[in-house]
Amino acid sequence: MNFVFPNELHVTWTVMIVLYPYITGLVAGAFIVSSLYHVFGCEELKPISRFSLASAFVFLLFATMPLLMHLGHAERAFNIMLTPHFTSAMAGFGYIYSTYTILVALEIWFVMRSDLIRRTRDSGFLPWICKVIVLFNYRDTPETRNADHRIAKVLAGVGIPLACLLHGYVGFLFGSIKANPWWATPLMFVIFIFSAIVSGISVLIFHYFIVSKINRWKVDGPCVRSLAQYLWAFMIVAVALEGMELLSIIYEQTEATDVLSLLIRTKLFWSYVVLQFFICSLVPFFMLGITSLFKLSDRIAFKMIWVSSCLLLAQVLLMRWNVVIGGQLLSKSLRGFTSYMPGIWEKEGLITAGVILTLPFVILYVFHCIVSLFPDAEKESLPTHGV
Amino acid sequence: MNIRPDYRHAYPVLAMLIALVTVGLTVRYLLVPETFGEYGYYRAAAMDDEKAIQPRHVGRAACLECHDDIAAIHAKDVHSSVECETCHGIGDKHVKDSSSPMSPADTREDCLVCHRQMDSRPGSFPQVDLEKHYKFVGVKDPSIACVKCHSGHEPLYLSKDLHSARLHPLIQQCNSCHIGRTDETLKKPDMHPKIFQCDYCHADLAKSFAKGSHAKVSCTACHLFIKDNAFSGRIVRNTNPKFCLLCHQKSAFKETAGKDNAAPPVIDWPAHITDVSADTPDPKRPCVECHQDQIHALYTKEAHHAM
Repeated sequence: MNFVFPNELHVTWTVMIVLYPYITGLVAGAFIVSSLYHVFGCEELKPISRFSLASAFVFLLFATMPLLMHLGHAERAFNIMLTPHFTSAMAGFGYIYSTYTILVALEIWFVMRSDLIRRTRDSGFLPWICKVIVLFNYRDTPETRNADHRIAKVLAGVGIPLACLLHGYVGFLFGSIKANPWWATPLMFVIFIFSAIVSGISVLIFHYFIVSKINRWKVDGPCVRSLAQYLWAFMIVAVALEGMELLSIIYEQTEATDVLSLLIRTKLFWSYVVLQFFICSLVPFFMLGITSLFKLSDRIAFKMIWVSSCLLLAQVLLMRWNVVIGGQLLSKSLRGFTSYMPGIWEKEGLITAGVILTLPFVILYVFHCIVSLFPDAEKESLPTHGV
Repeated sequence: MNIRPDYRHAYPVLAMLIALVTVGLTVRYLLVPETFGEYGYYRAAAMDDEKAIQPRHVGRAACLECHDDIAAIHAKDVHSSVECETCHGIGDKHVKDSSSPMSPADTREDCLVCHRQMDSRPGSFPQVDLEKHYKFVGVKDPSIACVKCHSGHEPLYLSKDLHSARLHPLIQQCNSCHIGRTDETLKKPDMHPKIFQCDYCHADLAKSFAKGSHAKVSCTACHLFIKDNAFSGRIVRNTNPKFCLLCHQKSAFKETAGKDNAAPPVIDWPAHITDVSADTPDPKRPCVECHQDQIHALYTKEAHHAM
């Protein structure tokens, strides 16, 4: 059995469209971690609160880049915002994304204003950039800081539903396509939000350990252990939801069940069953469970947490792949599959994907050069016992 | 100590936000086309723009005015429904000025636009897996263009006009019923309807054919069947020597049949005619006049009766 309609043979949504929800998810997840400190007062997350906020902003800057790379005429993308229509789901995303970007930029401005003003006292190009950023207003008093703190808290509070909306909306873009049985489920919104949080926390842990190792900073134990617990909790919910989606497909026994079963058993066997579920979900589940439930030494626990974060980063990327590509492999005839293998050097190939995934980290480094993202760690500067 | 917040430094930020919204709305006002939304959710003036564009395709009739000889050949063969400009490119400049050259599609990729084997194409549409096809006909060089053997005007060199060929009840191929490609070498189940198979009516010929050197070629390769409707079509017994030469003509890019390869035997054409015959050389003389026994027995008593 293999039949596909002529317009289905070519997979139009490439690896770029896999990266789009992935990077958007990193944004939403990182922002929620920063809000845990700024709004909900989780003090143990203070060492990475700025880092998480900056990460959210930097990933946000690159969230739409894969989409623009995918388009033949990227400049036309902005037309959806000029003449939006209710039938265009992407127009809605444009507005949510723009609002959220402004909100995160403002929050960063208010959270880091004092540090930016201190930086303006130095000489050179970067301090001059800081002067521009603070709009040449150098008033830094307890009263202004109090105002900054209050405004940042309100923005962080407003940002949480917006972050959920942003990523839930990406899930909606797929979940609302009723013609595709692999996508069309109301669970898609929720799955995307939780997997976003998982990937966001994972990228923070992953990056925090690497930065600490490079700079020989002491890894903050309570912060990392707390993050690991949050990660464990959110990954359980995310994976359980993904499992429940699968259960619905199997139990409902619709006309698409047979072909979806075949899709999972053949085309997506390795990426979905083996890698996403068994290796990248079960292994971190047990490892994070052990680090959360048992008292392990920092050395061992940190290693397990870091490996788990790497696996969960891969898990979410695989989940995006399996959703985006998997849904397109399936013919609407429900009687066949096409195939897809990304190129390496092409416009929407793996090299481009790698560059897009790497650039946020480069920008984050530039960000760190302007304003320290780890002020506490830099003050201490003790040898690490991390990974 | 309770510190009163001082919000004054935030005022420029607020002003910038208001400015941003204002600029956004102004840009929208300036960029949205004037006639947008007049009739529907599109620019109404776009219709006038489209109407003002002159067609660049001239159509078959314009080509016929000068190239009626080619058109006559083209009209009888399987490509008859393909417009001239599909392969030769847009003809407006050439019609206005005959010295302006056309750009005929003669590369391998040009033909494969329609004929590449794809899961998304209807099974009855002629599709080629190049690797298999070249191996089958013994082409050594995979970069050889299809037009080296097949003329775009008459790719199968039909000996009769396809459209006036005799009617024939429905012939089905496996993929007419079975979705996707099926392996024709597999044994058919006992309950399989036999009426769709050539050997159901032409058993004697099929038996003879199965013993011959052409057994690996399907009946419809030479007895070309074009489906007219759901119940019948037209069948052309192709005896044009050029058709046989598609496989059997000697050429620099073809293998010669040998023990180690399955390439078809090749001949020098048209030298072959004078080599084997003392008659007046006639390049249109059907190969089957001499080689019929190498394909299948012709009009055996039983076969003739079955027809």
